[in-house]
Parts: sequence; structure tokens; C-alpha cells
Amino acid sequence: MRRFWTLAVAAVLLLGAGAARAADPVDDYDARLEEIAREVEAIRKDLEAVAREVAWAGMAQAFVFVERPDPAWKDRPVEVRVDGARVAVRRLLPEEWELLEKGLAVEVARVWVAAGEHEVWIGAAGGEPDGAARLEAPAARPSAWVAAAGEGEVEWRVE
Amino acid sequence: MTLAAAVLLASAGPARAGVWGEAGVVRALTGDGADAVDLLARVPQPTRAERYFRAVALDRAGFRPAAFGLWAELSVSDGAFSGPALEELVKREFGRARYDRVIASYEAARPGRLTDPAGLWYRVGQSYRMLGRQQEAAEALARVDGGTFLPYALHTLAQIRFEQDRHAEALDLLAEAIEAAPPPLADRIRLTRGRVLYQVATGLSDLTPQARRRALATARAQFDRVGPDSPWYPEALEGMGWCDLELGAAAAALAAFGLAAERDPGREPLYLWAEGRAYEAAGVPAEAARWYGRARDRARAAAAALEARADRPEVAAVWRRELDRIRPVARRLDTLDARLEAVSAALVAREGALARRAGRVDRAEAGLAALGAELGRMSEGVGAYLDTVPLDVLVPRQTRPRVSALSARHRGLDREADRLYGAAEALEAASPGAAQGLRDRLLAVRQRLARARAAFLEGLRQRVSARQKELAARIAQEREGLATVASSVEGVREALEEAAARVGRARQALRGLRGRIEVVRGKIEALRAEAQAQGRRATRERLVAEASRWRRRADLYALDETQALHLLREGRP
Repeated sequence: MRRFWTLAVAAVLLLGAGAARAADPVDDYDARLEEIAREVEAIRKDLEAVAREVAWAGMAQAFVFVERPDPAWKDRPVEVRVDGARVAVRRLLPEEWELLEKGLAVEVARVWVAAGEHEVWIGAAGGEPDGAARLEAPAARPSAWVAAAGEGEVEWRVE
Repeated sequence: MTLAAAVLLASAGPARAGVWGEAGVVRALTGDGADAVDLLARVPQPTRAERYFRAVALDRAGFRPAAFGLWAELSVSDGAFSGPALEELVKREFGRARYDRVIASYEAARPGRLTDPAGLWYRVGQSYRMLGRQQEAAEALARVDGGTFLPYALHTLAQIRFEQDRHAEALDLLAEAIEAAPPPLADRIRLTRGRVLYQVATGLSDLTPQARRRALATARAQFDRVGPDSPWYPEALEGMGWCDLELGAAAAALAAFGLAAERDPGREPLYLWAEGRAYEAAGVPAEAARWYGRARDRARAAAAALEARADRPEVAAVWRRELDRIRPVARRLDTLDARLEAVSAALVAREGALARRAGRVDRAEAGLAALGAELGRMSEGVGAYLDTVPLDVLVPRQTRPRVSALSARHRGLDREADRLYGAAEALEAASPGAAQGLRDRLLAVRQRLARARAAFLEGLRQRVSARQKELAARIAQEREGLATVASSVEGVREALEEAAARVGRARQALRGLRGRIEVVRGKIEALRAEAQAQGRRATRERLVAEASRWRRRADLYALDETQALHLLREGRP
């Protein structure tokens, strides 16, 4: 009788632990998954190079960041327009909003545009796109267009 | 934990990351790991914080060994984020039951500020315990001071104290764990506390009979606190049954075991065997033998059912989690495939544009050739060309009316002179001298007119000559221009051919990329299949081990049955 109870008392009560098993298959799995992820990354780079040479020749890449949001963007999706054309519409995730409030910048769009100056606007989706800023997108390197919403207007800087 | 680390980063003030790093951190926490890796790779000199989040992103994107390497580097060196890096390592290795690696990481680390100290001490403590290092386990678990892990830590600590025969301490710890635990977990800990109390009551020989009865009553009360709605109720009933049996209440024990068997078919053989024990204790060996026999049969049936499941095992949960890690990599590959199609479409459009341009160049070249031939003909036949030209077009437009007026006047003067000659003929008879004088004057006028006409014609001749030269120069100029245009067109054609060659190379590169995508897709499928096989193997091993345990129990139940039958034959109760 006691044999049973001794076992029962010693039963393991673990939170968040996996069942014990041999380690090797997991290491092998990790290594192979990483190898696949590297190949995927290499394909991405090569594809980007081809696209840049052929499809995007003379184009520049621009990342649109928000570092200080307008409170209205919490309830409505954010829209980005470049030269009047809508290039991105997306709702900021609650976690992103939390991090924005803590002062971290959030990426909202990445676009390919002709190298040179462009009229860029960000605001709540469906809003009147007035007060667009003229921002530069040089062909040589990706640009960061950083938006900071202030009193009724958005201030931009380019990095 | 990582979100808490982001808060650490945000509170870092002047040392905070730039926009690329910040956005990379946010993406690492909320979105696609590979995109985050891309953003963070643009940070020229990453800080320790950015390296930490790069590891988070790498881990999300499938680069686990690289992520572990980065975290390990951070955790063993002094500075910011050494604590969170250790926490990430420990969390992941613990989640995969690699307790030796948890301890290796912990012992090598120099952790600074932690974001979840309770989580770290819990995992380290449990890992030490799983490796049999009880003293270190107890020290680490004792540092868990609150949160979700506290009841688990207290439970394990109580088990350690129980094994060290520090029973009172174990019971106090379990009481504390029950207080700290949410309802279902609290019931589970009540079971352990009841079992410890039962062990104390039945296992310590120095207890007086009264103390023993009190301890058993306390244990029973502990089991009795688990309500009928609790998932642990059948096991609590079983505990009450064993207490009742020790207290001499066999009928109550039978009732408890019977109800437990009804409520928990998965453990039915255990309860049936317990009923046999109750009958044996009550001095009814025939019934005892019958219940042992049923327990044996059910245990064998349970083993057979598990063995049948082992033939078609499901993927073990731990491997399902590993399989989930393939998903973002596969999704990224699908995205690349779609992007490749978009680039291919762009390439087709570009090829079309190049073909249209080539067509225009062909037409331009044909036009230039025709123009060249025309200019050649014009150069050779400028004289003939001039023959076809009316005289007045050879003089400037503004002087053309004057030239026309002069010509008309010449013709008028000729006609007047003819008329005056007629008059001179008529005057001849009447006044030959006057007639002669008129004729002389008319002759002089005609001579002047002829000279004027000759001068006019000479002027025209000179003008035609200048015009001819001018035309020849213009033709030469046009031919030169034509040659320049032809050379430009040639340049355009070369550029077009170069562009076409580039497009051709790109097309070939895309074909290569498409092939590589297919190869990687194949590798993903193979890895997925292998992980599933590993997961099924793990389940099969678990089921077979479980079945084997039931078979061993069935053998023990058979022995008990034999013993009860023997007692029955011997006529002993």
C-alpha cells in the first residue's frame, strides 16, 4: 500500500516543461531549421537583387516609421500616401501601441518609389490628405521617413 | 519576458536605440522575425539591447542556434540585458526538458537585472531537481517569491523536504502553496498534502494510536476539501478510501473507491484493486480475489488499448511546438514565391516595353534610311530640282511683289514700245525726220530695257547660284544630322539589346530562384515529416511505457488474486 503512495507523493508537478527525451533529435532539428531559414534569407536577398536590377531600376526603398502617434490612430487604421497614392493601410496592434507609448518607433510601411522627392502623408484611414510633406528618397540607400504627430500636424524627418 | 525587456530598453533614456533599432525591436516582439532581423541588421553598431532583440528576432525567424549563441554571449558577460538573455535561454531549454543545459547556462551566466526573477528561479530549481541535485534545487526554489510559479515551486520544495523526512516543513509549504494556487491547482496540491499526511500517519512507527488516528482524520479532511466538480475529485475519493481503510471503515472505503472508479475510468484498475484491498481487509477473500481479478483484467485491457494507440500515435505536444516553428519560415517562403511571381510579371511587362521600343527603333531606322536616300537624290539633282522651281521663289518673299511689279512694268514698256513703233511707221510718210528721231529714242529705251533685263537675269543667276550652294550645304547638314541621329539610334539599339540581355539574365536568375524555392519547400516538407515522425515516436514510447506499467500492475494484481484465492482455500479470512 505504501509503495503506491510514495510514488504518488513524488509525482512531478512541472509548469511549462516539456517531457524529457533525447536531446540529439532536437539539436538536429534546430540546425536543419536554421539551415532552411538561411536559405530562405539568401533567396530573399537574391530575389531583391534581381528585382532591383530589373523591375525597380532607378527606384529607392523607403521605410515609414511612426515615433509619436496621433491618438486618433488608436481606433482607426493608419494610412500612408505617397504622391497621392495609398501605399499602406494598417491598424496598429495593441502591443505596438503600448511600445509607442513607451517611446519606441514602429514601422508602418516599406515602399519602393522612384528615387527623388515625394509628397508623403500619414493619417487616419479615410482622412483628408492635406499637409503632405516633401521627403527625399535617395537611390543609394534605404531611407527612414519618421513621422511624429503633434498638435494637429505631423512632423517628418528623414534618416 | 521580452516585452518587459522592451520596457527596459525604452527606459534606458539617452542610450536608447535609433529608429531602425527601435522599429526592429518592436517588430521582433510583435511581428515577423525575419523583418525584424532585416531592420536590426541596419543598425551600424548594435548595443547589447539590440543584440538581445536581434536574438529574439532570430529565434522567431527559425535561427535558434544563432539566437542561443547571441543570448549565451550576452548572459556570460557583464552589462545590460545579461539577465534577460539568460532568462530567454533558460525558458527555452526548460520548455524542451533539457535540464542539463538550463543548469549549464545558469552556472556560466553573470546575470544582472532580471525581468522575471521568479520564472528564472523556478526553472533553475526544477532543473536542479530533475538532475537530482536537491540541495541546489531547494535553494533556487526558495527564491521564488510570488507570481504564477510560486505554488509550483512550493510544491516541489515540499516534496524535497518530505524526502528529507522534514514532514512538518513539507506540510507547511504545501499549505502555503494551496493558499497561493488558483482552484484546480490548489486541489491538486491538496491531494499531495493529503498523501503526505497519510504517509506520516502510516509510515512513522513512533506515533501513538491516537496520534495516528488524528493524522489519518486530518489527511481524510484534506482530501475531503476537494469538491465533486474538481478534476481531482476521483483521486481525492481514492485518498479518502485509503484513510477510511486505515481507520477501519471498510464499507466507507469501498463506497469511495467505487465512486472513484465510476468517475475516472482511466484509472479504474487502480480503484478496483483498492476495492479488492478493502474486501481483503474486511476479511472477504472471495470478493477480494474477484476484484483483484477484475483489476488485473482492466489493467491488461488498459495496456492493450494503449498498445493499440501506440500503433497509430499522435504527434507529441513538445514536437507540435517544434513543428509550429517551421510555420513562419514556410510562410516567408510562400511570400517570396508570391514576390517572385510579381517580379516575373514585372519582367514580362519590361520585356513588352523593350519589344515596343525595339519596334520603334526599327521604324526609326527605316525612316532614317529612306530620308538618307532622299537626301542623296536631292544632293545629286539640285540643278534639276531648281529647274522645277518658279523663278519668284528664288527671291526673298518680301521682294517678290516688287519683282512681279518690275516684270509687269517691263512687259508694259515692251507693249508701249511696240505701239510707238507703229506710230513711228505712221509718222514716216508725214515727217520722216520725226519718225526717225522717235525710232532712235525707242531704240535707246529698248536698249536700256534690255540692259535692265539682263541685269535682272544676272541677279537671278547669281541668286540661283547662291541658293544652289545654300541648298547643297543644307543637304550636307541634313545628311550630317541624319548620321548623328543614326548613331544615336544605334546607341539606343545597343542599350536596348543590353537591357534585353539583362532581362534575359534576370529571367534565368528567377528560374534559378524558383528552383531553389522548390528545393527549400521540399526540405521543409522533409523536416516537417521527420518532426512528425519524431513526435509520433515520442508518443509511441510514452504509450508503450504506460502500457508496460499497466501490465506490471496487472501482474501484481494477479499475484494478489492468487494470494486471496490461496487464503480462501486455506479457509483463513
